[in-house]
Amino acid sequence: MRNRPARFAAPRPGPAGAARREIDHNARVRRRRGLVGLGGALAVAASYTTPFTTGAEIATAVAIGAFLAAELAAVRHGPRAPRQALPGWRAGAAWGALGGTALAFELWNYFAGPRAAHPTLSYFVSAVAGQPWSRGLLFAAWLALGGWLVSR
Amino acid sequence: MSDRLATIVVWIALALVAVGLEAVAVATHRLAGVGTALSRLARPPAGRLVLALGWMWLGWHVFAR
Repeated sequence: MRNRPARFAAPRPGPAGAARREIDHNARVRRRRGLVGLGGALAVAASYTTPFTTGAEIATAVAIGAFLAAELAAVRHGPRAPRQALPGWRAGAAWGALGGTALAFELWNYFAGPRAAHPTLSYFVSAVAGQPWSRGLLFAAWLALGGWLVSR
Repeated sequence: MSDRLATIVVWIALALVAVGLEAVAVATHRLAGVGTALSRLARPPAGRLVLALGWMWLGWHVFAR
C-alpha cells in the first residue's frame, strides 16, 4: 500500500539541515496539537449522542471520513518516517492465538444467546458507554487507536 | 455455575491472559507486545486493510448502532 518513497527527503547535514529539521518538527507538533484538539471536540460532541440517532451517526462518520482521508494521503505521499525494524510473525503468534480465541468465543456467545446468559463484548461496552463521560472517553480512545493506526 | 457467570469468568480469563502476555513482553522482550504485534500486522497491505476495516466497524458498532 505504501510503495512510494518517503515524503520528505533526508535533511542536509549542517546548520541548514538543522534549521529544516526544526521547522519540520514544529510543523508536526502544531499539526498534532490541532488534530488532538479536533478529536477532543468530536469526542465531547459524541458523548452527548446516543446510538441509533442521526447525531451519533454523523459524529462517527466524521471520524471515519477523517481516518480514510488520512489513509489515502499516506498512500499517496508514502511513509513520513523511516520504518522501524519489527520482529517476525512468530513473536506475535501468542497474540494471534489469543485474538482468535476471543473472536471464536465472541461468535459462540453471539449465536448461543440469550444475551443476558451469554454476554458478548458489545454487551459490556454498551454498559460502560451508558454515561456521557464514559462514552466520550471511549470515543476518544477509539479516535486515538485510529490515529495510531494511521501513523503506522 | 450459571451460563452468565461462566461466560463472564472466561472473558475475565482472556483479559488476564492479555495482561500477562503484555507483562511478559515488557519484562523479557521474548514476546512482542500488543503494539508491536499490531504494527507487524499493519505492515502488509492486507493486514492494514483488515485493521482499518476492524477499526471502522468497531466505531460504527459501538457508537452509531
